Parts: sequence; C-alpha cells; structure tokens
Amino acid sequence: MTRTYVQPESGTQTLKDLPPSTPEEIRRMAAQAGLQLPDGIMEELCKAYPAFEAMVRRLPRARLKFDEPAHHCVADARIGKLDQ
Amino acid sequence: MNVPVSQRATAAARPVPEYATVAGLRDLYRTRAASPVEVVRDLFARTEKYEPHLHCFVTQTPDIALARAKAAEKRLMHPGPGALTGIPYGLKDVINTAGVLTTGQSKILRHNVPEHDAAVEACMKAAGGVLMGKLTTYEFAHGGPSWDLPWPPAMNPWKPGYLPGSTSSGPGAAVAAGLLPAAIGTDTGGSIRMPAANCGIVGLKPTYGLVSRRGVLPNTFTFDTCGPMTRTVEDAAIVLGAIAGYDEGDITSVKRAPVDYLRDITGGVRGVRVGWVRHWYDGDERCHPDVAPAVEAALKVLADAGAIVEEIRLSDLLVYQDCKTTISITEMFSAYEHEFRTRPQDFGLMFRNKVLAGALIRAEDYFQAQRQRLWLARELTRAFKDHDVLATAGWMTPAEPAQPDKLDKFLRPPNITTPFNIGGQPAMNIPCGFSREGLPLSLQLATEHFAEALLLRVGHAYQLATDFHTRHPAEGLIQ
Repeated sequence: MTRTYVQPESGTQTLKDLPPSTPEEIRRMAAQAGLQLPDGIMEELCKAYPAFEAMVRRLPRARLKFDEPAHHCVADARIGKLDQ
Repeated sequence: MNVPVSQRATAAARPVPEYATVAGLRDLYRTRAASPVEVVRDLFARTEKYEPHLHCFVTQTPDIALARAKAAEKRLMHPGPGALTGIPYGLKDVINTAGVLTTGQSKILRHNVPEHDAAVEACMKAAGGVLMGKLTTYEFAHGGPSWDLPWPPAMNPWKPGYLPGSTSSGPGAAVAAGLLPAAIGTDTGGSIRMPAANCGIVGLKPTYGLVSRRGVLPNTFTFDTCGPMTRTVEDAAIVLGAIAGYDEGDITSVKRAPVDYLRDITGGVRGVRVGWVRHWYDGDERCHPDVAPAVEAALKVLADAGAIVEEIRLSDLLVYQDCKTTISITEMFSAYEHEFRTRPQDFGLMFRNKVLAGALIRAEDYFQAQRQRLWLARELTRAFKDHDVLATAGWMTPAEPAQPDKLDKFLRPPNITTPFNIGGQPAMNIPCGFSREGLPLSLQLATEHFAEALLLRVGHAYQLATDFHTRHPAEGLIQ
C-alpha cells in the first residue's frame, strides 16, 4: 500500500474555465504593463502567453485565509514547525 | 578528512589523468605523483582537442589557471593546504568573476567584466582551486538551448548531436568529457541535476540558503542555488565543504555550524528509511522506458545494503511545476525588466518566449503561487518526517537530440527535479545506468533541509556498490 502525503487543497477553485485571452486582449495587457514592444516581439508574446495563462489559471484559489505565502528568506526549520 | 582509498568510489578506474577525481588528484598531489601545473596543462590540451565539438566554455582562463596552479604548488609544500589546492574547476557563466568576462550567455552582457568575485568563486579561490574558465549555460540560466546567442549551446560528449540538458550544460559536458574534475552550476528548477543526469555525473543542489548566491546572476530569487557538479559523490562532498557557509551579503544565507561532509560519508545506509516517489516518473508523467527499470534497480541496491524502501505518494509534478513557473517567470521578468523595456531584441528568442509573459502575471497570481508553494513545502516536510531520504528518477529521459529549428516550446513537461526547489531541500542526481542507446540515466535522492551529510552518505554507499560513475564517453564519440 502506497502511503500518501497529499492533503486536499484548501483552495479548490481555479480559473481554468475562463476563455483564453485573445491577441487583442494580450496587446492591451502589455500596454497596461507599459511594454512598448517591436511588432515582431509583440507577436511572440501573443503566441507564448496563452500557455502561461493556462498555467496560472490552474493554481488553486479561495484558499483558507491563514494559508500564508512562502517567503524566500525562510529556508530553515520554520517551514517544518508550521505543520506542528 | 580523507576517505580511505578502499572506501572510495573512484572514477579513475583507468589511469587516465583527465578522469582523475578531485579526491584522486589530492592523493596524487600529496604523494608528489602529479603537479597542479602538469594537470592544468594536460586539461587545457584536452580542452583544445574537444572544445570545438562540445562548446563547454564561453571563456577559458589559462593565465589565471597557470598562476593559481603555480601558487598551489608552493602551497602544497606547506602543511594544511586548502581543500581544493591545485584542483581545476570551471564556473557556469552566470557566476561573477572579478576581471573575467561574465556574460550569462547573453548579448545583453556580452562585454560584462565584473569588479568583484561572486561569493562562491571567492570560496573556491580561498580553498586553492584553479579556475579554468567560464562555462556554457542557457541565457541567464533559463530557456534554451538557443542558437541565436553569441555563443553556441554545449553538446553532450556521450553522443554527437545530443544535448547535455538544461542550463548548467557546459559544466555537465565538461565534467563528463574529462575536461574538468569539478564545476559549479546553478539550480533553480533542476539545472544542476538535469545535466548531471544526461551527462552521467553527480550534481548536488544544496539546501536553499546553504551556499551564498551573492554575485550570481539571478534567475528566480525564491529558488536559486549553486552547487557542485563532479564525477563522484565524494568529490561533491569535498567541493560542497569548500563553498557552504554563511554569507551576510546574501539575504537568504543561513547561519549554520560548519559540517565536515566527508566525516560520515562511509557510514552506509543500514536502517535508512527511503520514500520512493515512483508516480512522478511512472504515473503522472511517463518516463522513457529505460528510466524506470534503472531507478528500481538502484533502489534494490540500496535495499540490499540495508535501506528500508517504501513507496509513497506526493502531489503530481504538474502541481509543483505550475507553482514554480508562475513564481519564476514573474521574478525573472522583474530581474531583467529594464532590459526588456529598453532592448528586448537583444535577448534570445527562447528567453523572450519563456520570460516576457512574466510582465503580465498579476500580483494576486504570484501570491497564490507563493501560498501554494508553502502548501507543497509542508507536504514534503511531512514526508521527510517519516523518511530520511526521498528517491525518484533523476530525469525523465536520457539526453535528447539537439533540434535548432524547434524553438516554439513555451512550457516543457513538468521537471521531476522541481519539487525540491519548491521545498528548498537538498537533492542530488547520481548515475544509475545506461539506456539501450548507451546514454546515462540517473537516480535522484533528497533529504530534509541541511541534511547534506546524509544525502552524500547514501549516494556514496550507492557508488561503492555500483560502477556506473566510472564509465566515460568513448573518446571517438566526443565530436
């Protein structure tokens, strides 16, 4: 029997069902981010972004309020202590 | 401390100096059977022969190497030389070196000559190491391989036209080809371990915070580490001992008592509890058909030596990968934002394809990924409460062919190395066999934070019982 350490996610909701952004929407987001890209590179971004958008939308949402973010300065036993 | 020769998993089975290990060279120097200057000259001659095929180096540093080798010869005449006195090594070209070109393999830093050494280079120098050069990477240790950068990608010495794998590609190829006994790579999602797997060498990603990253060009602040790439686990222990330690110049550096990683390395694995994560390579994702039997045979070796192996289940690799990549592209875009805004055309296509989207990640997405990261780190910590070591495949495939025309991969299949970047635990890949094509395969081991001594002990026990690490690419094939 395989022992499992997977616990049900505190946040099960995702954004997977949203429709993918259109190239026009991606251009608008880039403009809002202040990116002024040459046409060819903007085309690259429009081609690449959907894969990353789908990835981000798979992240669980609506987590329990006390689920804190990891902090990159914590690399010691504090991670383990959080479970006790 | 020196490990007795009888307990040494030597990679110098043949009397060929290019494949002398770090430990072997230390013995040769101690007995005056070889000198650092001779070794350096021999290795540069070998590099001259193979570098046109392998592209391991961005910059070779023969003047520095010979000066340090001569200094090492004097140092060896006195008691208590540094742990790496006279030992040649290379640095991935994202590690700053004072007065020596440091490019990140990017047109952006094509002429960049830093004023200061990175902390890890300062450690290697202080230990007496001999810098042979700066080694090929992917642009800023991400994306790639790319053919539109000022330098070509490294090639795998095991098979012409095949890649060494991931971003510490020059270090992996150079160590495997016998151009260097050791190198320093960086690992953000597996970039030390993947080329170690594909090149048939040892690659150790230390605990996040154990080795300073000051002066290392950033990939992802949350995950970046640097560590040794060698041909034996014992050598990894020697190099790690030289570079581990607190550095107040790195905000993530952790203050710990120094550890002698060789002290218990021969302690064996009797009673060591191993959690076997099979579903990562033979479940959620399908590995190459030769990988699973090699990993299972490796676990049998450990079990026969007294380890207690139990199969366990953790979250799917894709869950780890989504979390890691969301954090990575956001942080990487922030690190290179100025250049993306002012000269985006100077990045290679692969880097742009994999990082520019980071400009569009919302703050709440980044923080959901960081919250997910803590959730996953706690899962790993729970597993390490019941197991001393986790074991899985070192990589999903043997080395793959170079495909210069295939530049449209935005996201790769999940990396089997990424979970231990998420958790920050040390992890090490060691050779565990060969595919039917004759390409190296690898076992990945990981332990709880700062338990590198145990990790090295288990890896060393495995190498004492096997000989995969003593095999080298056929000389005729390195082209």
